[in-house]
Amino acid sequence: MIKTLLKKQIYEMFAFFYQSGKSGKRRSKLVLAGYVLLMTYLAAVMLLMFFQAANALCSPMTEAGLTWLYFALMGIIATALGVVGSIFFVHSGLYQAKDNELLLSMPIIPSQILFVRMAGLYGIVWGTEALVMIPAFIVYWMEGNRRISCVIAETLILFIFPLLALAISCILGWLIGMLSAHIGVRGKSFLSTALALIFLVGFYSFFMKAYSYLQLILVKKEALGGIMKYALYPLYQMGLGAAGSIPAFLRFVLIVLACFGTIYLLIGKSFVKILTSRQGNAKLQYKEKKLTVSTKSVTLLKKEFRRFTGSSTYMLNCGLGTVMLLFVTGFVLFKGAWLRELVMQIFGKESGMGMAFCCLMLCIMVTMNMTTAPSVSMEGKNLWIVQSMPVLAWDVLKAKLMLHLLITVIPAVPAAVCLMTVLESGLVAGVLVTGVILLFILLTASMGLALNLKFPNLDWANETVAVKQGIGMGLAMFGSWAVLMILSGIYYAAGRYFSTELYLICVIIIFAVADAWLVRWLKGRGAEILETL
Amino acid sequence: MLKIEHYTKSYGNKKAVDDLSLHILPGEIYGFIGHNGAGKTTTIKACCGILQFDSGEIYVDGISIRENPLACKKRLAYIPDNPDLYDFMTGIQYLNFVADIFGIGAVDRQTKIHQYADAFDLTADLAQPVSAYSHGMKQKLAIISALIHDPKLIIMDEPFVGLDPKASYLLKETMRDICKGGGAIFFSTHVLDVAERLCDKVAIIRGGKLIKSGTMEEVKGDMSLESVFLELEERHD
Repeated sequence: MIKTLLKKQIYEMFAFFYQSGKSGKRRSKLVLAGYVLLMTYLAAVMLLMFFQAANALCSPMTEAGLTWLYFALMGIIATALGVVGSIFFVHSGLYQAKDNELLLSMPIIPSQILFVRMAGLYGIVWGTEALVMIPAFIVYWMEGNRRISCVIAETLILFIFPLLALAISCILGWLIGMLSAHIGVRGKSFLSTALALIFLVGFYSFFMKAYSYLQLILVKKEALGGIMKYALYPLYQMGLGAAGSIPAFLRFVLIVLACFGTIYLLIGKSFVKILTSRQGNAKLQYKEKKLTVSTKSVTLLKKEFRRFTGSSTYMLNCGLGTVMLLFVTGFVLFKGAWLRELVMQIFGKESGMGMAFCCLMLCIMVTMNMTTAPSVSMEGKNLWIVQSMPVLAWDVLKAKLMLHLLITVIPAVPAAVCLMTVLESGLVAGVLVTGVILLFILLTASMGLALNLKFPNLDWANETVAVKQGIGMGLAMFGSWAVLMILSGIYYAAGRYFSTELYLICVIIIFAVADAWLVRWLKGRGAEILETL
Repeated sequence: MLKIEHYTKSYGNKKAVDDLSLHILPGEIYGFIGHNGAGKTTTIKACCGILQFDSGEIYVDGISIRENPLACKKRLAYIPDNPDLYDFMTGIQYLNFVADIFGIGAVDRQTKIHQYADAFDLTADLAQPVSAYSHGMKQKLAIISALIHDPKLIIMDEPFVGLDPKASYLLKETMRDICKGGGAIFFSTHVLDVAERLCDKVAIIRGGKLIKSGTMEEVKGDMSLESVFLELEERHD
């Protein structure tokens, strides 16, 4: 039974690979190969990134006699990544899977259902943590530490360690589930978004200061090492175990199994009860009041806005840029002088390089907003509504573009204006930078929409699939970065031959042409595609 | 009101509907019957302008759906077999959205929503998110949204599935009222008793081909519609 259920779970997890989200049919070998290539590329980029991080940490740590701390630090990164990657799947994966009721109605022991669901979650956490831990072990081996006992312990750690992150994810996911049961749909979305943002801010703050923490650890290694041995006891044992200590490895295994086992038992106790009892929210009483009348364009925009704010997954994955741009504005307002000093120190007083760099940073933040990239997929089974209504397909697409523009332009303009004012770039340069950013926002919006029309996924049961696993989303994001990389590369290589202002004018022309072409494509071919999806 | 001429639709090499012609006049309730996979939904979706087709023509109120889909869609309302509505909206938000799209005035929409929501016992639930609705409630909401803009033609795919007896009765009455007012109804159903009692005309489709159509009397004669349907199915096996 478990084998059959596991096969179903694995097929469900990888269905987007084999099955077309548009037609539900099996993908062609060529498309499948394309998907595999893209995923391999993404995994390779991540592996390389963590390989570099491990490379920077390993030597100083091992030389300082703190090998355990090297593994512990990599373990912290892996755990954080594993928790971030799985926390939002916990509640939906365990309790809201659409086949829960079907499985419960079959002669299957509920604990087997839970086991299979947990196995699916374990797969997600393992896949995420492996991106960190595999490079960590490889770097350690490259340093000449290739004792067979170490390699065996590390291989086992690779499979046992994710249970710790899974236990943490289960606790947090359960808490989110408990909290969200008492608030409405929109409140739930905002709560999930806020929690995830707090988590991400903490995660990135740690990363920003990682180097200074490392310096601190190296300087005060004995004192801090002593404290951290207790504070990070499971990771301390894991680190010692990975470095070859068998008793430490056994202690680590015991701790992880105890943690995970306790959580598993607790969830197991309430699993069927939660599945078979619907708590529900208090019924809202309808009070008739005057209805607002809007034009078609406004009502379609409102619809997009409601969809966006009604989903924490959508907001978190496609609207982070808004938060970052607002943060930049606030930061520049309070720390403007310091920032100006820093930019002048790095790029010199007269150079336009500082201005170009700030423009690039704002553009990178703009790429964190990608609402259009999954917006067609998000229609899912609701697509018939706009298709059967007397509304132009272009109007539907325009509303999707407008949402993207509104939530990005509104925070981007003050961020650009504040930044350029602080840098004293002058009116012309300020206008040019703002122009580049605005046209780049339109470029990312229309590129995301065009890619989603080309690669839609309408057959999803969980919106996470539409948002996170869409090929259009990945292509739009990497495509935007590629555009920025190419333009920055050209400026870096040949910037000394022309003024920054002239270069910005050229970029404006390029973006304007690309925008015009993309919008024209969306109005024509894009609208046709939407009508026939 | 709805004229289907030599409509053909293929999926790959397989013809889902082959050379289908039907004519639904104003004031008629037209039933569309066939086994699962016969081509009913494929035909219905093409009539609503949400599915392209290979050949033939479909006219709504004399306007070609291929050439002027928007004008056709203004005149018709579509209720699918599985009403997947916007889960992120409340019932009232969805109805207001539909009213906005069809350009219904403030007073008119208020009156219509009040009238139909009361009739279908959905008023108390209009503030709830659609995600909290049962299948039947979603079906009712889809029906109300179809009625509030006074369409000349209503196209429905299995409209009685999931409806409670009262709502089912009310829908039948509303269908008759619309036809009395000069509108037309084209709907598919597997409930042959309902079709027999409700429809003026009926068409039976099998394997994408029209095998019989006409007034109810022409199609069934002295037999029941169920007997005729089963006999035709056997004959074509």
